[in-house]
Amino acid sequence: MSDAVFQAATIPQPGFSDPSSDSQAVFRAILNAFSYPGRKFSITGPQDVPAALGSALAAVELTLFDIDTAVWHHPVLAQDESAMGYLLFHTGLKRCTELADADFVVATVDSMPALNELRTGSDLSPQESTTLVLDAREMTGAHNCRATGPGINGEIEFLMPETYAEFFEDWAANHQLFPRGVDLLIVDEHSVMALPRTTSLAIQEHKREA
Amino acid sequence: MNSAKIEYNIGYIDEQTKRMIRRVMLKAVAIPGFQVPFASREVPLPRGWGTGGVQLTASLIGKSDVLKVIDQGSDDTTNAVSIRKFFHRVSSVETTTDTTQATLIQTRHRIPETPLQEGQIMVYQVPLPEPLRFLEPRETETRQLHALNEYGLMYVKLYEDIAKYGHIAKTYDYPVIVNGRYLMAPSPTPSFDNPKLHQSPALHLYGAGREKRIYAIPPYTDVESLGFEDYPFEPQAFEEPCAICGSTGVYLDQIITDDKGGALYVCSDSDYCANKFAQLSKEGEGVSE
Repeated sequence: MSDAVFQAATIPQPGFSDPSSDSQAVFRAILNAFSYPGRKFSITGPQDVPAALGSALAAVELTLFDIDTAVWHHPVLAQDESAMGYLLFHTGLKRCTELADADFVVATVDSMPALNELRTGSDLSPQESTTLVLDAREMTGAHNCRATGPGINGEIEFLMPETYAEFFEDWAANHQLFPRGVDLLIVDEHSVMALPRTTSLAIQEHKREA
Repeated sequence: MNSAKIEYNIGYIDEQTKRMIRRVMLKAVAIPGFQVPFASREVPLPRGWGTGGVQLTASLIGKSDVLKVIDQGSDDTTNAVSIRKFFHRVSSVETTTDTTQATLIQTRHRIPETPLQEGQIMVYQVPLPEPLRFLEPRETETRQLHALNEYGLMYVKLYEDIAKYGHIAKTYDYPVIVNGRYLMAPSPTPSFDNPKLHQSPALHLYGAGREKRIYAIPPYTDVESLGFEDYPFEPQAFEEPCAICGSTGVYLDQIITDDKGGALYVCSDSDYCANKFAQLSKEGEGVSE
């Protein structure tokens, strides 16, 4: 084993200061987000984290991922040594390079793969689908959306970060696939919001610049 | 001999197991009514005593939670007291009997009478998660039936009840369709409680430890109890009011009072009954003043 491994630069920053309690609080925010789609729930992550990850996304990854999860990271993150070193050290997650193998896909608004490239599970096992974790810290714009479905009392309006051009058509198709389908977890600086496959989206006319 | 106090991980089970259960919970919420398999663990109570519910609560519970545990509506029966004590010991959370104060409510077969609120989580201890099990014993087949949305068997069962008895003879674990898609067993809650599931503001999580399944009803979700146009679903109804607090429109327990057939009917929800009774006594004092 070479000494390089122990150089200061390769020692990852600390994870949660209290792993049990901190990840519990983050999980409850994520569970709330899945239960009440379209609403934001704030989370507190570790402060000293690799910049490419950011505090909130780091918190989500530390909470959900471990040796049992295959995770695809967008290229910028996957090539960032400090970020990947941090995640591998703290979670032991399985890195994967093929979207089709991923239990979780972590992408930014620019690098988000089309929904139909992701695993949707089967009719027998719809739980074997991919969950897309969208890093929305740097969004270029947002659409004003109206959502209906389980977890929503009547309907809710919210801002959906702009991703790729056919996102809304693809989401409608994804919703139609139920019980199969992809679930979406949107993470920004301090909060999470989820769109499970049961959520139906209608895009409002105007588009706001973020 | 002095034994040092054992320090448990919060919620007793280990972090890796919690993460596995948490990921399953997210899938369960995303696919309302679908039974998601999970790697059920050993917990310090026997299978069939609520191990599924205990694993869910253990994976959910944290410092800011207030836990209520009920057994047949009652806060003070053995199962409820033991589980409440257990979680107080292994996670040091606050416990309560007050439905309005609780953030987590673990239950064996009742939904509290006091309406639930947004942000509350109901955790059910489920013995048999598969509503079709007594009609089709093979798991491989029932999974297919769910995949194909093929629930004719259950309708035939309900029809046969009507043909035999003149009414649908199922009073608990009354089958429901969740979000217009999955047939689901609401655990052996009385059919009286079924209407409370429809468009409930709270999240309902079901855990079956022995059968290794977790499923959920998200908040504000359609939950339809099965029935026919001419024989619609009818929840149980009670003619008498509660003998203690006088409430009507609540679920009542029968208490045998002698060996000559005498019986008393009282609220099954002990917290609701105590509150109503306290309110009545207060009003009574007000009148006498």
